[in-house]
Amino acid sequence: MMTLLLIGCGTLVVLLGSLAAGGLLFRHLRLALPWHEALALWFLSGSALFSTVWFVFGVCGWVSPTIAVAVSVTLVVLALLSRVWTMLGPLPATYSCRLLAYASVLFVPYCAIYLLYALRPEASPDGSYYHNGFLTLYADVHRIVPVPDSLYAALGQGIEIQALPGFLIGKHCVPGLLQVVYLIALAVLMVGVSVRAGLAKAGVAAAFLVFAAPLVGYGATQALNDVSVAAVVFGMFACLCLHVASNDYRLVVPAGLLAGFAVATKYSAVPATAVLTVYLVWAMLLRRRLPWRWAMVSLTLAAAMILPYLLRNAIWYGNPLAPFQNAWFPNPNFSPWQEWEYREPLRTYGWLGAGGYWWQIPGEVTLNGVRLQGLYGVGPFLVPFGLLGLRNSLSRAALATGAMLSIAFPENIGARFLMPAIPFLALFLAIAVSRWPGMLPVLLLIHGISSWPSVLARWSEPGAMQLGPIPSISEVVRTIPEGESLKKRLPAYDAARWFEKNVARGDRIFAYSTFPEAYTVHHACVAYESTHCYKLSDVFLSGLWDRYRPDRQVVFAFQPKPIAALRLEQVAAKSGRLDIRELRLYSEGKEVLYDGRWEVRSSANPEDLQYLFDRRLVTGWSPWENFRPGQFVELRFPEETPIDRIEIRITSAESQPEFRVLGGRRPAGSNVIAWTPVAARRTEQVVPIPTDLRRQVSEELYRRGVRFVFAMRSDFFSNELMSSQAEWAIVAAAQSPDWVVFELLEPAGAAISR
Amino acid sequence: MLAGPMSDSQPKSLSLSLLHVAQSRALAVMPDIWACGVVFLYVVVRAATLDLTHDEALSFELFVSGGIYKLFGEYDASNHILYSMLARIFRGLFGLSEFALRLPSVFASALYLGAAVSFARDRFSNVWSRGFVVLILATNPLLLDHFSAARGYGLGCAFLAWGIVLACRFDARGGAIGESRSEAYVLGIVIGLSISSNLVFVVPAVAVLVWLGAVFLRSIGSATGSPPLLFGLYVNGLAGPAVFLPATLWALPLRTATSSNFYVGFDSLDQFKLSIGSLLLPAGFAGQWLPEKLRSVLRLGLDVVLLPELAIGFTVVILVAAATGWFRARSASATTKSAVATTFLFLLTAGITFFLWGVVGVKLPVMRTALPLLVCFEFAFVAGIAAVLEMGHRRMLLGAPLLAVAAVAVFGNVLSAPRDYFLEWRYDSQNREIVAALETEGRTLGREPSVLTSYVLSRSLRWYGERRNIAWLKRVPFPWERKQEPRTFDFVVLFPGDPIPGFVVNGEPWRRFETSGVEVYRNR
Repeated sequence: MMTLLLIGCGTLVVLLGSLAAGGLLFRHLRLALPWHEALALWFLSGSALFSTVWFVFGVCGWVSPTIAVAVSVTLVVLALLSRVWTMLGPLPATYSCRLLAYASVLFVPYCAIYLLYALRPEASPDGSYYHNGFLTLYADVHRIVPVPDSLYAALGQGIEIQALPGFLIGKHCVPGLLQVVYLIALAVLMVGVSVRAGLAKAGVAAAFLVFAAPLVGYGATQALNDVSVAAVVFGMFACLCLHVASNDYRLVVPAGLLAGFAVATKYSAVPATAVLTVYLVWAMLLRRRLPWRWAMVSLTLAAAMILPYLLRNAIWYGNPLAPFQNAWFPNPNFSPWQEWEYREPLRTYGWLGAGGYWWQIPGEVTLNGVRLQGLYGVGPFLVPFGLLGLRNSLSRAALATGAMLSIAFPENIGARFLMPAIPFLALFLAIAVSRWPGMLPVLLLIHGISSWPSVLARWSEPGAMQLGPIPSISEVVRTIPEGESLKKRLPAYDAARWFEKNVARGDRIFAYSTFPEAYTVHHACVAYESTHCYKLSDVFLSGLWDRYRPDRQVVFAFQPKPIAALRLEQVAAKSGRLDIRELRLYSEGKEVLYDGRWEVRSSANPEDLQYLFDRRLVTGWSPWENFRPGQFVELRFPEETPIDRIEIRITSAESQPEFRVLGGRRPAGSNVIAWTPVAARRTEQVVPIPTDLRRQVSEELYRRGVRFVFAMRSDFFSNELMSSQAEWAIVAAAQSPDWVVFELLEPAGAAISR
Repeated sequence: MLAGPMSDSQPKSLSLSLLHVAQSRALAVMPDIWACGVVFLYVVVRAATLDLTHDEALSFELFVSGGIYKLFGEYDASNHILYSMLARIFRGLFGLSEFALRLPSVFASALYLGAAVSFARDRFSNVWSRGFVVLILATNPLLLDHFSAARGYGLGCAFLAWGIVLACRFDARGGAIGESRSEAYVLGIVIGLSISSNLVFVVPAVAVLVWLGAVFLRSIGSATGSPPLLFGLYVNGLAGPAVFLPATLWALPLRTATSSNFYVGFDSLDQFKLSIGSLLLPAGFAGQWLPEKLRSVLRLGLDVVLLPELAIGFTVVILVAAATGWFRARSASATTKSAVATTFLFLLTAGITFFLWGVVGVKLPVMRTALPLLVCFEFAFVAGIAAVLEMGHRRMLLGAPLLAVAAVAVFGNVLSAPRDYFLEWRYDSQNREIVAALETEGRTLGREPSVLTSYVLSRSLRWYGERRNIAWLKRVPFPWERKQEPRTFDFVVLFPGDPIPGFVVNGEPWRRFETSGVEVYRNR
């Protein structure tokens, strides 16, 4: 019960702090609204402010439970002193007892089970990995810190940071409980907006279609951020609807905050700012109901919400838009290649274009749920019927907003990424259906029954992302210990606990699969998450896969000629990556050894040029982008040097580079190199690799600070490592039927780095 | 016997029709109500007494028993979703019995009879003619079967019948349809419910919507018929709910459907002709009531001029009778309009059916899956009679043959309709007795006996077995179906035509059940 109490306290700290911050904002703006809408909007806009405050506190290193309580208490006291409750208006008469009774019948059962789900130990894949994982890390070091190994750390963290003070007190369940609060706020606002438009029934129905949607229920009970983004975006829409109805300029202030906060929470919500901008332009120029100053205030506030994260990324990761657009902002943490490898699968999920067609997407995200990770149920499937209600202005507005919010969907076609648009599409549908007597109950009945977790589990396809069985009370009140519950639901939970007990801070863990980092302070360098980890992966795979094996020697032979510089330029444009492991120069049969006075340049990734001359085949240089003409490695010699042969060692990857050799002369009295192509004869051969290549891999990994390799049994390399531990110079330090932790043996005389 | 039709019949709502019935002077002068009563009694008695058939047991097992999730699970043509939902409700209210499972269909029969009465009253003024018309519309044996069987076809027929009745009324309103928002909505719902009952009713539903689309088009330019208003009324008030309701109910089951799930009937046109020939109006001609000699003569005639052609012949007669034209004369009587419209509906339904067969590759309907065609034809025929009778001096020339055919059909229907079995599941008519016999005999073995039977009989036998707490009544597969080692069996239960090649039963049956033709053998 103590755990539950702490969870409750943690949630209250965030909830009351956010409500108070929002209340203060609305009090300051003197915006009075019916109490239910006011509380929802206070919470949402207050969340934006509260999160920003905690971002500053976090960066400053003021992260502790005491400060958390103090901040929230201060905000609440300030709100009380400002008499914020005077801004709460009565419930309009439109909310009849009948409407409220219907709404209760619909919402209460789902609300009750969502609370149970949210209160049981948190074990969602993303939540227990990085959403809560970073909170664990920040709580451990009492500040928000950069994690250059993980692209997820560079994403917007608006909701995570808002939950941070609650997490300090109540730990892992607090973020999930906050999502339930967001969902309730979303439902309240959906009803509120509809009631104002005289469409009370449609509003309740639309809210229920969203509330009961399986994927929404999933998102609302885990430490994720999709539901909060949907609520925040709808909050913005509600403010704009209120502005249309009242022409009160002040409403664009929370609208701006919310638009910005949505982006600060999830980059895929960027279209929310487009919605805001379009609305402001429309209200300003066409409707002439908004002075431009207020429009600017709104946009400025939106920008102010996003700016902290842009600054953080620029300072910590060298790219304000990290982890994206790395071609625009080259940086050592994330690369175009890694970005492409991350983003490309999200555009297809391995299905679209490989047996799947775009016209199947609606069915996938509503009724199937396997291929695009989640389903919204029957209601959203019927959205096209909403076209029959287009005569209604709210219907048109909902459709336009929903469509704009879906613009980013092709970039990540996962069902969750439609969530900000779903409330609008549900409203769009419900407005049309509400015109047909008796149809809404049929729709809600089918949607409600079929979305109930135990029913859903029986008809949906195995593997569809959904809530499991309704948690037992003993699981919720922790009669069943949290550890036991987590062990059952998270196969790698034990691994996280093992790391917590046995690994020293600073020891790097390399992995291809993740373990629930929320339950340990240790963070794994997962191959696809950053360039740093990709480099480790290159080293590791050199000893594992043929196509990464550095056994291909390419030789360029040409007439001996004294040159001041040499450039090896890649000229092909195709998918695949240039990966040079060694580069050696010869003159008259003798190797010209690397001289510290040489100036070595490259088109990208200059940090790794040293590995071209380190005489270790497991290391190398790559520009970390797809093959494109103009990628080069360039050597400038202090004086003209006769070179007649270049040898490079590359891997046997399927996609091979195409080179041309350029020789450079320095015209007398000039420092500028004049490049001319060198007629070189290219030969290529497969050469034997050292027999101890795998040991070299381990040594190199060790040299780079890696002490452990984590593998799920299903990982492609786990069996190989298990069966040849001596060859790899590793030992299986811990294992279970689901996972193995390999420890790298310390190489003799290795220069240990961390 | 027959008087002329009501020349100025006004469209009436369902409630008005019922009120009209309630306010009538006496039942004695309402043969249509008497006809309904008799037919309904027949339906109720059969629903209460006939043994549960394989298809009913299968529907129950797959979609009515167990958790509600079964409604949305894997698609199967046996899932008539509206029926499955109603059956669950009736099962909850009245407990598990054959009658409770069949109550949705019994309810459908009442609806259908209501539609028949309404149509008769709309088109005919003479009370006796109304009674006769109700009999024409409601005595087809196959139709009656499905008003007693625990399937969704009866519901589909009932809602389709109401769709036709309401659409005729809508048609009759002429230029005033712009004022009929609520009626359009009810019509849309009724069409939607027919599709929700069974997917084969999609075809006539589309035909009704096309027909009504034409009605709306015709109304453009009338006093209340501005194009945007009419378009809004048609799309939003009628077609929208007609599509939305079944889309809501079918969305989940259909998500897993594949083409193999739609086993509607025949691939060959000849088979279809024979099947549909016995289905359409003169079903009674094919009945057992005729003397064998006459039947053979008739069959010869049927072979030469198959009944579909006969049906088309009737249709041509009706079209000629409705020469006043539907589009040309807005002033045409409601009777003429309904005759033309229902004929058009039948032809369009048949046309879509053939299109689906010829172009899309969907099989042709057979027996129960052809029920939509049957209902359309019945209403077209009756409307045709009304139109012919309206033709003044020519009425006897065309009307007499039609009435003769109708009279023979009704007579044949009444005589040939079986009371103690369903036409399509005759072999299932004595399942209760078979199980009782097996139970009694099984006890003598002193161990749990095993029963070899085909798939077709197994489910209904198991249903009765479960009712009697017989756990051992599980099906042993035939030798050619076995994937494991052959198992021994104590009883073999076979129906005529079963087993299938390769399985030979020697010796005399231990029991033979006359009505169903099922034979039970003991393995000695």
